[in-house]
This record gives sequence, structure tokens and C-alpha cells, in this order.
Amino acid sequence: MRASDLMKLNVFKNYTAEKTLENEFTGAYTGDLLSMVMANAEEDNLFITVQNNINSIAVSVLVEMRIIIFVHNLIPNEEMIRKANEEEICLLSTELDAARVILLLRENQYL
Amino acid sequence: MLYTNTFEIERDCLENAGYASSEIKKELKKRNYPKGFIRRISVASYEAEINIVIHSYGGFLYAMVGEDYVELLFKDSGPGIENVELAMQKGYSTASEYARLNGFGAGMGLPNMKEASDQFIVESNPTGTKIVMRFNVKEGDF
Repeated sequence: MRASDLMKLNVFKNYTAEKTLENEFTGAYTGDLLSMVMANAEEDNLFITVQNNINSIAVSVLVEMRIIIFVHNLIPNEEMIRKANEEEICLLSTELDAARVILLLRENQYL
Repeated sequence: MLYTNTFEIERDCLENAGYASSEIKKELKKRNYPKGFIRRISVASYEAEINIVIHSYGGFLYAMVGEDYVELLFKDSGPGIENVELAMQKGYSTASEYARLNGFGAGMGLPNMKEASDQFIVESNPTGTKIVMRFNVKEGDF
């Protein structure tokens, strides 16, 4: 599944370049303590978090997650967007909380 | 020795935090080391790098890549870990408010490093902390 499929659900807003919508995901990891994310998230996971800062992007690069969803309407800043575009990572934001995102994706068989 | 490099790690610089670990990872990926091997090195390296950023006056990483092993030496210029035994406990953290607001401070850094590596040494006094980790390619890394 790709980020472009997520956009079809009409609950996400994209902040990075159009081409990052081609990024794929398998499974998901939700977490806000970056040590835990580093140790437990898997490559290609959808990363769902409230950590609306540049370190989420650094962690995503290291773990090789290519899509980050910021929940609770948290919006990435310019520096984060620049870095994400550089690393070709897709940044999405949604009003929903992490649990509702997971349930929605499960309902639509994305997970 | 196939590759060595030294990376400076600046204190408090969270914007660039993870840069050294990311470079090591790129190098290992380029040289086709097994995925699991690269992952545990990335985890351990990132934890050590972040610790230098959020806890120390600054330091460096010296990385050595061999045919079937990697050795990482992290060194900083203080102020040292007050109680290493406590610091090795899962969940114990001395991270600042600033670090915690950025997602750090889970208190898992040193335990994660020890778990991810095959040999782990930490020595610390007020003039600085030294961490040496060795990773050997193992069957489970493929």
C-alpha cells in the first residue's frame, strides 16, 4: 500500500513533495519514545506519532520507514519538511488519534 | 580494516543528531552487510550518539569496519555518568526537560546498546565517558 492510498481516505493532509506519495508501507508502528521506536519499529512500517520534530525523521531514516503520520493535527515545520523531502520521506498529518488511524486502516484492509 | 572514519558530535545539537549513525549505516549498506547486522548497529550507534548530544559537553565517534565485524568507539569530554550501574537500569534516565520534549529520555539507551552489541564496555569519570561496542556478523543477522 502507498501513501497515495492513504490520501483516498480523506483524513490525511500531505506536506511533502508529490512523489513521496508513491512511498509504500507494510504494517505500522505507533510510538513517541524514540528509543522504543528505534528498537522495535520495522522497516517499511507506517510510523504514527506525536513527536512532531526533526528527530522523528532521523529515526525514520535509520529504521527505513518512509511515511510518517502526525496525529492530533500536529503539523510539521519548514525544517522538517525540507529534511523529509531530502530523504524522500512522506509526512502526513491528521486530526485523528493513533488508535483511530489504526482502526480506520484496518477497516479498509490497509493493515 | 576496510573502512574507518571519525565523526564529531556536537552537544545540544538535536537538528543534526543521528548524522554520524546515518553515515555509518549508509556505508554498511553500500558494502552489503546483512540487514539485521546494520539494524542493531544503527540502534546502538544512534543511542550512543544521542547520549553525547543530550548528556555531554560534546564528543566523537570513531568507527572501524572490518570484513565481518564493526567496532564503534564513542568518547566525550564530560561530565561523566554519575552512577553507571543505575544508568544501565531500564527506564532510569537523567535526561533534561528539553531532551524529553524531543522524544528522548526513555532511559533505554545504555540497555539497548548492550543488547544490540556483542561486546559492550562503558567507562566513565568526570573528564569523560568512553563507550566501545563490537558487532560481529552472526547467523541471525541475515
